[in-house]
Amino acid sequence: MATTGSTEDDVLDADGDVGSLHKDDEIESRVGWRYTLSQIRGDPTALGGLVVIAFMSGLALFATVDAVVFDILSEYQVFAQYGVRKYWIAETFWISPIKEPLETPRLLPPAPLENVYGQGTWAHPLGTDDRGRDILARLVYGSRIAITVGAIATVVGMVGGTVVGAVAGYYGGRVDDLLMRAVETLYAIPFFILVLAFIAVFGTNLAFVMVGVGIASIPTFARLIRSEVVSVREKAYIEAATAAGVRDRNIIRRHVIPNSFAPVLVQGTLQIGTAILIVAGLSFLGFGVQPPTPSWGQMLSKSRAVMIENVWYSIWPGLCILVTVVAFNMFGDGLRDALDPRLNN
Amino acid sequence: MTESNTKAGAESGPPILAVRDLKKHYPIKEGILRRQTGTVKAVDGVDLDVHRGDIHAIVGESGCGKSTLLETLLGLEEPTAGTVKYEGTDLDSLTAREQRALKSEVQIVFQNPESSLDPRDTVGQIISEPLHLHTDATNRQVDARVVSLLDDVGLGPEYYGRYPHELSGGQQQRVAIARAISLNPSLILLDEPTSALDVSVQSQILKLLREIKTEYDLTYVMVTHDLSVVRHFATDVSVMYLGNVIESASVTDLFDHPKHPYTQALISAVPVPDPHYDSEADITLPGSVPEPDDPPEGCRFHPRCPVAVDACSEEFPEFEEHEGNRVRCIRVEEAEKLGAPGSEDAADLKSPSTTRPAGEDR
Repeated sequence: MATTGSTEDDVLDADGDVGSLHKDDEIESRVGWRYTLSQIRGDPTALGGLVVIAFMSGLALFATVDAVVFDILSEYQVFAQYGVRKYWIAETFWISPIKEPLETPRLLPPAPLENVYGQGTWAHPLGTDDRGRDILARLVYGSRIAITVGAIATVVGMVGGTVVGAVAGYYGGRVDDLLMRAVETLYAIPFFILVLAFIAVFGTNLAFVMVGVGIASIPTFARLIRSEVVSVREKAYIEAATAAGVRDRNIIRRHVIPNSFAPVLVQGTLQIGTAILIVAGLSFLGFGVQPPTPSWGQMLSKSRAVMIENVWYSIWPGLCILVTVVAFNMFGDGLRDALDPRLNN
Repeated sequence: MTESNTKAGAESGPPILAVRDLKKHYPIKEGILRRQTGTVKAVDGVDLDVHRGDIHAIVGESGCGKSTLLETLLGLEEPTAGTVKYEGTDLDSLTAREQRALKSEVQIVFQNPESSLDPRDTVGQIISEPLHLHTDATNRQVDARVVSLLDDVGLGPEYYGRYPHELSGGQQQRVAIARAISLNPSLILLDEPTSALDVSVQSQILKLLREIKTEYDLTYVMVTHDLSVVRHFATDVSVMYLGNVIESASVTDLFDHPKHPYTQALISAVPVPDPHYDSEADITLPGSVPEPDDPPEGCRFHPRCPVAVDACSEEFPEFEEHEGNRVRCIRVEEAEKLGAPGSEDAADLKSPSTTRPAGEDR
């Protein structure tokens, strides 16, 4: 900054920022959703992941309306008189994912193919399962379980882990030791065993499975956010808030967590994939969703016995799990890059 | 040196801030058993009187305990011993609720505005946070107040919705000042308010602080190591060395006739922009500052003092008055022979107004 002008004060009165009027226009806000989304739009991998996630979420939403919302509405006379019932849309316009039609052959291959059970038909484009139900319909309705389980388990883990980690990191000392050692005890037990133990105590209800998977993932989130909080709590704006008389609770909520949350968000998207896999594994073992409600893991489990005769039965749900989990991972990686200021060009 | 730098009238009433024998020690813990193996005496018996309307500067080199002192004054750290009286009221005697109320009377402006503003909050949110906390004002009233505060610190209402990273360092510091004055405090602690800024912006911020001081009837306690800022901005100075105040005086007295040998060395260390200046004549201190976990016996400064005698290592002297300076030294007469810069022409050369072309203009 040149200070040679004779009217130094005049120049400096603008705080030495005469040029920053232009600068302000150029600086994009690096905070907020709009900026993050603009970063992801330029990243084909993340965008691909987002498209798949959006598609699967759309399917899951449709399936939830048809299988859950209509089931609840059918209890009321007002709706029931119009024929509202569980799987109303599927049964009216397409095919029931749960009814076992006597006339349909079992274990048919996809449409143009042929196997020992018969010739595939376009009525069942992906074939039929061991009870003659349409595989495509069951896949569509199974997406509901995968997405719901992934989202709810992750939210439980994120909220629990964030609270534990933020409190531990902010207060430090004995609170930190106590909380983190407790959380690391969870960490020491293999994930799958922990969830199985949880189910053994509380039951195989899907809600407990989701919460169990969530609790088992608390250590991951707690450790992640704690390491961020430890550096954020030393920032002067935390001191400034303390000096202004803001209570600890509000400092953690308003200043500490928002400034430490980016890695948690990234881990969250990755964790959804893991949660889907875990619950699919549990369904495979017979825990979680109970038949006849369709779920991908359970379909895999059922297909195991007939894998030689009709390999397609196991391929389709496996492919769905694969695509969804990979999509969440791709999106998570992209989100990490978008939220990391060091990687921004 | 102008009127604004001299003390404004006679001091009346109790000091707005009276600190007595304030100590802040940090334990050093080692090993897995966390056994205490030592104590860092960051602040070790500080006495300080700040009167209403003063700009009281606390100077000293890095690690002398300036910042710890501020944090203790602000209540961010519990003092190990000693008392802090605010307008005659002992902080310890207050309940938690009264202490929180008092917090609106004492505010702080930090050194680095970039880290003292939450990057995820807008300027409006930053300034309004204390207002929402300590007043029952409606959102609309708070918004109006924020806009008027922005105006007071020289920022237009268009800054309300901006984020800190969209502002320059000087503008960020203006926002930090607006936040500090939002609750009409009477005492503001300034933690090196200009040292993170460009020299050209420093003078603007100092000018703003002076205007705000008049408008809001404020008292400042400022921590800094920039003697030129002290000379042109402060009214009183306390010099700290290793956790203790060793000399305290009005700014004119301190710069005209520094009494303590350390103060003399400090003032002598200010660089002089004159190629012919004989820097050999500067007072050079041997050794370095001792570790605060093992301060020397007696006068903290005696191992490095050019005029120390045996008596200096036996007892740390109390404050004594010498020509208006309050000094903790028994060798003031001898120290004066060191060639106090205040008594010679060198004082003019050392005047920071010449060392800093873009410094405060008055």
